Order: sequence, then structure tokens, then C-alpha cells
Amino acid sequence: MTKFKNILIVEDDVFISELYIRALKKAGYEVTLAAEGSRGLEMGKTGDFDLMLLDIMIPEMTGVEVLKELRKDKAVAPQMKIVITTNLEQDDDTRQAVEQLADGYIIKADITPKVLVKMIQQIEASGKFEIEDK
Amino acid sequence: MKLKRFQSEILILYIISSLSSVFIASGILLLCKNVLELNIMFSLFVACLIWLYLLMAFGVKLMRAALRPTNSMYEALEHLAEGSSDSAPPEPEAYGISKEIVTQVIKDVYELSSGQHDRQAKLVAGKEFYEAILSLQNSAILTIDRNKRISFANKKAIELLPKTSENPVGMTLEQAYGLEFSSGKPFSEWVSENQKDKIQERYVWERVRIAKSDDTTRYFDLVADYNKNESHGIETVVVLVDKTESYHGDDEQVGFVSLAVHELRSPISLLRGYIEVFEDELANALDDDQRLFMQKMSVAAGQLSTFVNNILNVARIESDQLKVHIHEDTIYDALNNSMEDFTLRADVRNRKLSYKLADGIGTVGLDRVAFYEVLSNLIDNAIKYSKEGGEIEVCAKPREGGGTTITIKDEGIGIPSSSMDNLFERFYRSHHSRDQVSGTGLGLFLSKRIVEAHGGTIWVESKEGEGSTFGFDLPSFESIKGTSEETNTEAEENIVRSAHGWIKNHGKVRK
Repeated sequence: MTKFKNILIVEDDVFISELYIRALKKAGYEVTLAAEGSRGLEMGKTGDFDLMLLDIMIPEMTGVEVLKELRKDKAVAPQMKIVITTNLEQDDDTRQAVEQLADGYIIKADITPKVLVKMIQQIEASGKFEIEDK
Repeated sequence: MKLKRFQSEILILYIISSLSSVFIASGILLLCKNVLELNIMFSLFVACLIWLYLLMAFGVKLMRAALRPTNSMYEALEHLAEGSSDSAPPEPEAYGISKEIVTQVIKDVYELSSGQHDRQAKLVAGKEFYEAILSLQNSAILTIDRNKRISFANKKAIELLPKTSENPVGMTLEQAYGLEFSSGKPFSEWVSENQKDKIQERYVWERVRIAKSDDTTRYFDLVADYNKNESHGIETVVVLVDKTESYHGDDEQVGFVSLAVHELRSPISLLRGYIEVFEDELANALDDDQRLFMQKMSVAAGQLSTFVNNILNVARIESDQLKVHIHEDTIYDALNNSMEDFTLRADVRNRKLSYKLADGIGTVGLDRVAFYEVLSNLIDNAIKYSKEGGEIEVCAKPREGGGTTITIKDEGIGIPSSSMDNLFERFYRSHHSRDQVSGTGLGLFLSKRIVEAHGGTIWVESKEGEGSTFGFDLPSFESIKGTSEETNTEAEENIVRSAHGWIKNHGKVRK
């Protein structure tokens, strides 16, 4: 079972990020915040994070642009999972990009921070199959 | 020219036969030389020569007369033949013998020949006419042969190709246009099914997408007519009608609703987050009433989220954009996932919600998010329309003939029979319910559409004053396998779905 340590939140809504940081820290994760797309991309590229929670409607670069840029080069942060956390409905192009490139998709209004933590644990658990299958 | 040769050959044959008869006569005369006088023999020989001359003169005359009709017919034909308009027409009146017959024969030849000319002219005009229609037609028209290859494409169809320089003939429809179908089975799969056991079939795909090489995208309605026994080898005729403008209008409408939904969801996310923080961190500081208030707030925020999703989905239905992403799933997992949420909803309103799940339910084709929305709407209705302390039972069992039946039974106010027919219509609310309970009339409309998109049916049984049972059937996964373009792809099978989103199962992908 893979256990995440460092989580990067790319989110411009301060209230939401506050709530998520609080819940994630409580669950034992190290959390870092980037409030703009470009900053998120820059930090994501460092390879210091195990998981990125990426909003779509963010300033400077959209979440989809950040996602495409990060996944363009397979050598960049290959271990980092990217989960889209958004309230935006996807058009066909976004949906296609997200399904191809992201590791998860969560509608923020449909979940509470605690459910978010549960879903992250689900991602960690999905790594467990990898070990068992081998 | 052949006729002239034929005439010469007959003449030569005639001369040879005449000469031979004279030689035979001369031979007989020589044999009789001992019997007859010399001068008598000479006279007979001269008579033979005269006879020969007369015979030849008569023969030539006779042959000319006999060949005249043939000759004139030949001239007539030569005159009618294409490219020989310089030759003179025959003059049947000039012939003595067989004049009527010859005239009639030539007349017939002329009539036949001009009929042929007319028919040819008509064919050419017809071909040009239909070609003009096909090239003026602003919809793409293609014919597909038995090997699913394009055998003809009109002008518009060629213009629509991602690269217009290509010739689509010989390619499959998908290869030529890179079609993306938003709903229904892919075109070639539909054709294969027809080839198995259909004679004639028609299917219409809406919102079919074609991306051009210049990055523009256009949307079409694709109408396909299949005909097994077409004699020209055209098995399927495809018409692509450009609907980009009208779908663009729908997109704008959905686009606006999506934006509104985004703005509504942001405060809902916050409300739910803060309520949860309070529930967790103030749990010990609150008395029972306060704790219940907190739970009620939480449920209300959850319902608001459901309602916002309903609005978006109704907008999608109206513009024909509601998509369900169906995957093999078990009802047990799907229900377990949301039981806690629904139980809390019932608890805070003082209703007793219970689950009865039969054993042996097979897998169904399910979109969990959409399934959650159906359950959410039906259970919320049961809570709203039942009495304080009332029982609500959610039951799942295998359906006769395959699939699963899910029912939600309440002991509420029931539905008057006069309202039953309109219950699943948009914005419909019975008189009765309008007076007693608030609501929008969207939930049942939406539930019906979602269940139908799964290939299932929704129904209701109710008795006024005694309660209602809403139920829906979902077909087994086995029965719908392969009918949806979204099922069975390797990548899709490795996605873990929940009512709130999805997560890829990387372990399985990397195996």
C-alpha cells in the first residue's frame, strides 16, 4: 500500500483550501498550497509531491492546462498522482483530457473534506493492488 | 463496306455457275459430235453462248433488284449511325419492286433508331440531373458497400473530410471522418448487427462530431438506411446533416447553466465543509437538540447539492446532452456507498429507512453518479411525502428474466389516480402535493430519463392515503454488454467510481 506524505493543493478559493488543508493535516499529511495555476505547475514539476489536488478554474493557467503540461513529459514527477477537484461541469474536451491524463475527478460540492480524505485513502489503497499482483 | 463485298461475292458465284453450265453444254455437244452435223453443232454452240449472255444479263438484273432493299437499309443505317451525318439518306421511292416493304422497313429502322437516340439522351440528362441534385445538396451523402467501404461521396461529403484532398472511396466511414458518436452504438457495429439478421433498418445518431484538420469541430445528425438486397451493391446510404449552429445554441444554454451551477456549488462546498468541522469538533460541546440541528444543516446542504445537480441534468436532457457512463457494477456496492447518507437524511426528519437486499443479484450496467441521483430523488420524495415516524423500505432483488429491480416503498400520503399518468413529466406536481409539500417537479422527470438511459424502466404503484412504491428495473450487464461505446474499454474497467467522482486504479493498469 502506497502511503502519501506530501500533498499539493492548487486552489484559489481560500475558504475551500483552508478546509481541505485542515482535514488533510488532521489525517496526517503534509500539505502545501498554490493559489495560481502557474505556481502549481512550477511546484508540481519539482517532484516533491505524491499527490496534487488540482482545481480547474484557477488564475493564470487553467487546471487542464497545468494537467496537460505536467503530463506532457513522462519524466516530470512520474510518481505524483493528479486528482481534479472542481465544481465545474466538463465539456467534452475537458472530460477527454481529464479522463486520459488525471488519476481522479471529484466534484467538490458533492463531498465534504472528510469524504475527500476517504477518497485519497482509496487512491492509496489502489496502489496496494500493484504489490499484490506482483 | 461489307455489303458491297457481299454483292461482289454473289456476282462472282453467279458468273462461275453460268460459265460452268456453258462448259457442261459444250462438253455434251463434243460427246455428240459423231451423231450430229458440224453446222448443227456450231449453231447449237452459238445458241449456248447467246443463252449464256441472256442468263448473265438476267442474273445481274435479278440480283440488283433482290439486293436493293438490303442496300437501301444499309444506306439508311449508315445515315443514322453516329458520326455519319454527311451520307445521303436513301430514297425508297426510287425503287420499283418491293417499294412498300422497303419503305416500311426503313421507316421502322428509323423509328427504332430515333427511339434509341431519345432513350440515350434521356439517360444522359437523367444522370446529369441526379448528379446536379447530389452536388447541390448541402448535406453529405455517402453510399457504403457490403464491406463497409465508402463507394460514393457527394461534393459536400468530400468537403467535410478532415483533409479535403483525400478521396474517401474505399475507406470506412470512421476512417474517413474520424467520427465520434456521443450516444448509441458506433456505426460499423450497427452495420455488422444488421448484416446478421436485418433486411431493412434505419438509425439516427445525434450530435456526431467531426474534427477538421484546422481544429474546428462541427456537429451532425447522421441518418443511416440499411438495405440488404439493394441490387447496385449499395448496402447503406448515409446522410450527414450539419447541425452545428443549432447544437451550438444548446451548448450555450448548457454552458450558462454549467456556469451558474459552478457558482452555486462553490458556497455549497464551503457550507458542507464548515458543517462537518462543527459536527466533528463540537460534538462533545453540543446537547442533543443542537446536534440534531447540525445534522439537519448537513442534510439540507447535501440536498441543495443534489438539487443543483438536478438543474444541470435537466438542462442537459433538454439539449440532448445527458450522458451516462455505464460500467459493470453490483447493486450491493452502489447502495452501500450511499446508505449512510440516505439514512442520515431519513433520521433527521424522523423517518425510519431500512434496506432489504436479496441475495444473488447479478451485475448491472450502472453509472454510479446517475444511480445515486435517482435514489436520492426517490428517497427524498419518500421522506417528504410520508408521515412523521413513517417507515421507508429500499428493496433490491433479482428481476424475473434477468436484471435487477429496486423499489422504494413509503407509507405516506399516496398519489391520486388522476395524477398517475403525468407523474414523470417535467415540472409536474399533483394538486395534492402542491398543497402539502414543497418541491420542483424535476426529480421524477430526471429519474425516468436516467433509468431509461440505463436501458431500464421506472414505474409507480400507489394508493391514496396508504402510500406509494416507486420502482425501477435495470437490465443485467450481460444483456447490455457492448451496446454502449463507453463500456468494456480496458482503461474504463480500471476506474473506481463512486457517487462523488472517480479514481483510476493504477495497480491494475500497470500489471
